[in-house]
Amino acid sequence: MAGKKQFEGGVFAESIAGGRSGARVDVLADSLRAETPAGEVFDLSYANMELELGGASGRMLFCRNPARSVTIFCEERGFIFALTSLAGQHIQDKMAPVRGQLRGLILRRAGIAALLATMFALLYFGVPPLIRWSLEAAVVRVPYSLDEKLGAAAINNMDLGGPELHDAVLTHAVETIVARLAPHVGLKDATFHVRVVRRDTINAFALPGGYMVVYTGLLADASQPEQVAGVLAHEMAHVVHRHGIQRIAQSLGIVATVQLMFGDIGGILAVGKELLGIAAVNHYSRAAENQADATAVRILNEAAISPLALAEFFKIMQKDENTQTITATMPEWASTHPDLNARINAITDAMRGLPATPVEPLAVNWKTVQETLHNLPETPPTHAN
Amino acid sequence: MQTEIRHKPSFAAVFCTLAPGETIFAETDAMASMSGHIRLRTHLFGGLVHALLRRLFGGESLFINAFNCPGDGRPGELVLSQPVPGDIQEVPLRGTILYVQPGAFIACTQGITLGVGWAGFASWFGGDGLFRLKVSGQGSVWIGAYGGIFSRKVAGEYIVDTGHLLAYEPTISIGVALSAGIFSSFFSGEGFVSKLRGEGQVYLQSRSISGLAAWTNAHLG
Repeated sequence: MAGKKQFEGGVFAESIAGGRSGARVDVLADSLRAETPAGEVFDLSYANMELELGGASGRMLFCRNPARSVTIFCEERGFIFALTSLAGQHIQDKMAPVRGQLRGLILRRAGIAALLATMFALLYFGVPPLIRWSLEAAVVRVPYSLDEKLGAAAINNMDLGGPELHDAVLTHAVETIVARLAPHVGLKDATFHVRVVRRDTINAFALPGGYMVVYTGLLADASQPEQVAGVLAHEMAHVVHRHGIQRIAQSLGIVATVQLMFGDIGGILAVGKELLGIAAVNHYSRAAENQADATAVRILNEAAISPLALAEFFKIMQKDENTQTITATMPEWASTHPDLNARINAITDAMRGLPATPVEPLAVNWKTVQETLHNLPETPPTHAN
Repeated sequence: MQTEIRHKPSFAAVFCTLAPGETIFAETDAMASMSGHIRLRTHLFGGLVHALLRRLFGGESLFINAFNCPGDGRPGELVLSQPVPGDIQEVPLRGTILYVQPGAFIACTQGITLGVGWAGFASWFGGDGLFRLKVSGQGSVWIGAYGGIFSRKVAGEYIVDTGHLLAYEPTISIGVALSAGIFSSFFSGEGFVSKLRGEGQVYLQSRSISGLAAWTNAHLG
């Protein structure tokens, strides 16, 4: 005969001191027997035994006589199975509702476990994207005028890393490029203000509200104005998608986002200005960069400039990254825009889906621009606005 | 071993006289005083895993102190107490099991096994925690309460407010329920209660720590 027949349980009986005791419970052929450590023995015949499931675990089986003067109980694993197997027909009918209760208990617990696991998974995997979506949704409701206020405050207070240049050739070149791109950015009423800053760094950035900075190092590294247009289109795309505001919201958290939504911008302005100043040359998220690339391709195409110019500039950056040691001329724009190969491929892929637009060269004499850059005085004078 | 609980009910302490060779196990920090020749050894009761479970989920210390009177012929005295004002009760176990609420365990004799059991969400919802200490075997266990201790023999259904349940037998099931209808439950201040069903002994305390904490918070400036 297989199967355990001896279990640890207990017995309630008035004859026991204290009314109850632990007991060894034996499942016999025609009765259930409990023997206490004190040697008291209690037998319950299966014929008229009553059964009830309960106890703290919900799995304790109480077996009692009709007079309820003796109750033998046990919750050890296998007890119910042993009783069912050995008690035979005597208690099959009585056991059916017990087994049903037990099944219900197991299902309930499995359901709770599954619910908890789902909640945990939702929290772990769902809450961060939900927060990101909430932030993005909240930013959409913030008026663009806030971007302009933030950008203006930041650009006027941050250290640009070099003096602003007002050279007519340089400013005309950059403004011509911006004027070609601006009508195609797709943001109504957006205006773009670009400053040329003297610094041998291959970099450019845009702040919320359309405030942009281009460094002379980047202008010098470009072999044609269309490449600069590619970079500026990318930066203008960040403005269009309001990535700067989103970055502020993410840095400052949900509370700031709620404040933004309700127009409480005093605190946001103060902190956001600082954040933007620090973060102006930092990278956006990978998703934001990809989005800006895709939008830049569209802007360039609509402005009759080949989007390949942006890809060409990435290639120049790659070459510079591979050959440069860590110097002031290290292509910072490249370091903040990683994974150039993938992005070059993404640009060429995106171009395949664009309508064919004739290309019009930019009305900028790039040779003159390069000569002007080359002939900038050694110690540039500080220019008053 | 002879034991006596003195200074009941508010500041109870267990006064033990250990015969040579006898050992009693107690919570760390339960010892108030002892004879100089009694040996104290600290160890993980029941092994590392059980000790960790007791600490993390049972509200008890990782370690248990074993107080042993050496067999040189002299008995030793040991006084055990608890950090909160209240009563202490000795509960004899005859091969039975007792579930003890976190923090209520004070001491036990040899022959008693300490473990951690899952109390269920109803217990947690009722303010009594997800886990409970499982005390079983042959011997005595001492439990301490905040306030007085009273016991009831449950046969059917019994309602206990949150924070008042001290210990209960495994033959009792615990459910959580509203004390009355929704309006009455919360405006009466009773809120959720534990519904005890089944047959067995329960030990209750007349005060609850959470009630004291709430009252204190309300009166802080």
